[in-house]
Amino acid sequence: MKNFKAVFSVILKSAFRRNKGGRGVSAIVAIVILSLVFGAYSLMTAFLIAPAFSMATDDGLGGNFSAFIVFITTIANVLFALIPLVTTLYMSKDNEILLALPVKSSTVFLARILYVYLTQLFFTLVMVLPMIVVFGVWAKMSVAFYFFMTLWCALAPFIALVVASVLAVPIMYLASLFKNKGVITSIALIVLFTVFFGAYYALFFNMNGSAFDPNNVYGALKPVLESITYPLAPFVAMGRTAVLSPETAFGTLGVVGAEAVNVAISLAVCAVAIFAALAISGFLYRRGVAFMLESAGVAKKNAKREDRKTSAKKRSILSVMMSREIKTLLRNTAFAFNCLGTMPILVVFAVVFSFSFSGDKSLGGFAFGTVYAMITGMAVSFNVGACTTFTREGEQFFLLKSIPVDIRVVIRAKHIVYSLITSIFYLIAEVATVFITRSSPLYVLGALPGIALIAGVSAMDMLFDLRKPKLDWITPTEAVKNNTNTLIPMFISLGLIVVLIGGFALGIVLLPAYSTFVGFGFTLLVAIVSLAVFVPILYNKGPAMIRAIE
Amino acid sequence: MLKLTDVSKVYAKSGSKAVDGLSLDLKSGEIYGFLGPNGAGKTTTIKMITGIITPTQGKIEVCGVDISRDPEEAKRNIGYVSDSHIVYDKLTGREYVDFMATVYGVDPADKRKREEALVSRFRLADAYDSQISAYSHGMKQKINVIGALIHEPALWILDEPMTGLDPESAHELKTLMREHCDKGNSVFFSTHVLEVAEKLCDRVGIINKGRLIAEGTVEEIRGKTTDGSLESGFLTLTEEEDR
Ligand SMILES: Nc1ncnc2c1ncn2[C@@H]1O[C@H](COP(=O)(O)OP(=O)(O)O)[C@@H](O)[C@H]1O
Ligand SMILES: [Mg+2]
Repeated sequence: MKNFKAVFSVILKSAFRRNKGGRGVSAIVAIVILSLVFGAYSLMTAFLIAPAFSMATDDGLGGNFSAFIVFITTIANVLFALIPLVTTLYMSKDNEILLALPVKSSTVFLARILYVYLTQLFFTLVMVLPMIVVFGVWAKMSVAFYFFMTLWCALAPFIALVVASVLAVPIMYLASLFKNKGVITSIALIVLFTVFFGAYYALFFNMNGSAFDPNNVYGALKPVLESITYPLAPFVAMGRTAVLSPETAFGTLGVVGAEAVNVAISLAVCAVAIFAALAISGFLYRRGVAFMLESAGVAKKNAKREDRKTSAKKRSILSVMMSREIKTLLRNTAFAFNCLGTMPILVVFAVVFSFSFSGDKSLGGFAFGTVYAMITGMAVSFNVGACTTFTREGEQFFLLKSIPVDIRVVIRAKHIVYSLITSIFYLIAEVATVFITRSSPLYVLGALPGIALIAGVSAMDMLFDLRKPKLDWITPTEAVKNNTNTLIPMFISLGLIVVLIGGFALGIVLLPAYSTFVGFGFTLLVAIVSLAVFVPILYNKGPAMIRAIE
Repeated sequence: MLKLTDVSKVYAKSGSKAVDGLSLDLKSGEIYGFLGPNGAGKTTTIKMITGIITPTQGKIEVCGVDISRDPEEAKRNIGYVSDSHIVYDKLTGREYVDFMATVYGVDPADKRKREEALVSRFRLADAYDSQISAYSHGMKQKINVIGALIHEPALWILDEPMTGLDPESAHELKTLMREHCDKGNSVFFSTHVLEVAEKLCDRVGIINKGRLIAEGTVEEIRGKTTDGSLESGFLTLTEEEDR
């Protein structure tokens, strides 16, 4: 244990310190921006749901609702902890050197777990604290609510780490059966992620009539809340402690006794979770690291074999570079998850939004336009792949510069790949929207200006990344998260939603009968502008920008 | 000092032996050159000695301590310069050396003394407080060496240390290796460059395809060839093996 502080501080410094040699903003700035965005989003959601929470407390379901919040927090943590856990524990580049030092592997393990826990805790609190405050004030809760909810949500990452460390085993094992383990792991995770978010959004928005009527929200939630008492008993025990009121807490001994039991159960659950998380992943840690270290060389060999295969087929250089881009993206689980995980979510959004907006009769013909603008705006802003394509190369970036391939071909391959991937999911989302909102099949044509916009904005994303790629990452997660190269383009793209909705609004004012097509035309205009501005810059200035990076 | 007994390593999945029945015995005060072509198994051997990977079979003792029995104690006697750069390159040189000193439990007074001597010797004083990522290849290698020597290890292990060093730095490193041995310690380093071994080593071992095919003083290996150079000795031996 005596080296714990030294190891932990080295891990922290490596993760958060700004690289003085290169340019680039420190991770701290990126984290602050990210937490502001998430915090604001959480605050908005909190205001939407707070009335339902208040109704639930009046109905005596406040404890179950609180339990539900802790449960959702835990599930979200499982999903978001899984990748950081697997990558920081098993795929960190410093694993080798730490093994050569006279440090117990349990010390390294604890330092890494603490690091994962603290990052998870930070984002959990950013997401949950606004909600706790809004709910608490809205439903006039006692101090117990704020105290216990914060406590249980702060411990939720630990409960999640148990599940994540258990899930990591079958995922790694399953992956080891296949030749391309990264690909299988990536797909498994993306499916898991989509299912979770699908369920989450379906729960909150899939209602008859307007989605934002608190009565409907509560109506939909009530049966869920009533049914969780037994299946989620440990969480319900935690939830009950949160609705302690001064009357019950200081009232008759019987009630105090019951509440004390709930607190005790909750603490016991957390203690067991912490112990189990440490025991399970600790037990697997040394093996997992050995497994990853020894299989690294095999992956290299496979890559060589594939190189030979491809050259034998004499494919065009462009398609070789494109398949290289896709393979490197899919093989690295952290990359695939962060870059592609949002893609199925786009489809989920399209479905959920279509249902909730088409139910709102007051919107009339505007419903399709609104959903279309949101889906298009999200499609362009979800393009994490394009925003990190050079950063993800890491040390390979310099290799890329030295291979005897025209660098413009490399740029074109990347641009096509990321425009294509997003466009495929976007097209599915668009078709789903047309179908669910029962719009004219002609509206599928709206995908064309949308795809043009995706191509234009992808070029912008790549330029942002090329301006100052963050090549010196140690864990892959660092390359794709906390990265300002993804945040600024994302902001700009989200702003596009408003602009595009404006186009449809303009249509309603100018040509009510053809408002949707005016909206499409407007989107096309924006797309052409983005194509005309960013694509020439990317293709003409890109090679020089790449050469300038050393 | 360092004793390997019938050590083999089979990488999971690849099936073939990267190191095959290797036995070595390194004495105090000795510089041992571990020679072999690329892919011979040098790095694999060094990673087993330093505890990064575990042997499939065989026993490794460092200063009489079995590395599988008491890995921490065994590793405390080793200073390791790997074949790649320091991954903690966001630290400054000083922070990195501090980290290594803490981990190896070096007394602060000793640390300061050694640090001063090594830093001035390598003319690294100006860069010592800047981030390692801004260092040149040679400077990175030097800070790696300082980190490995800060606890005066009984056994200093280097994996391909001369790669990419200019002649002057290479010479400095060789002098340092000699001095380290003169204090009664040992040096074990791998290389595929013969001239390095020829002048410096007390003893060399030649490894090919995971097997030690010859071992002895430079003179002894020379004796096995017609023209008496280590190079042709090396080539004859590895070729015979390939046939
Ligand atoms: N992680 C690994 N997984 C599988 N095989 C490996 C791995 N690392 C090295 N090898 C194989 O082991 C053999 C010896 O490699 P290595 O010890 O690196 O050689 P050297 O350092 O002498 O050049 C090579 O055939 C290499 O392909
Ligand atoms: Mg090697």
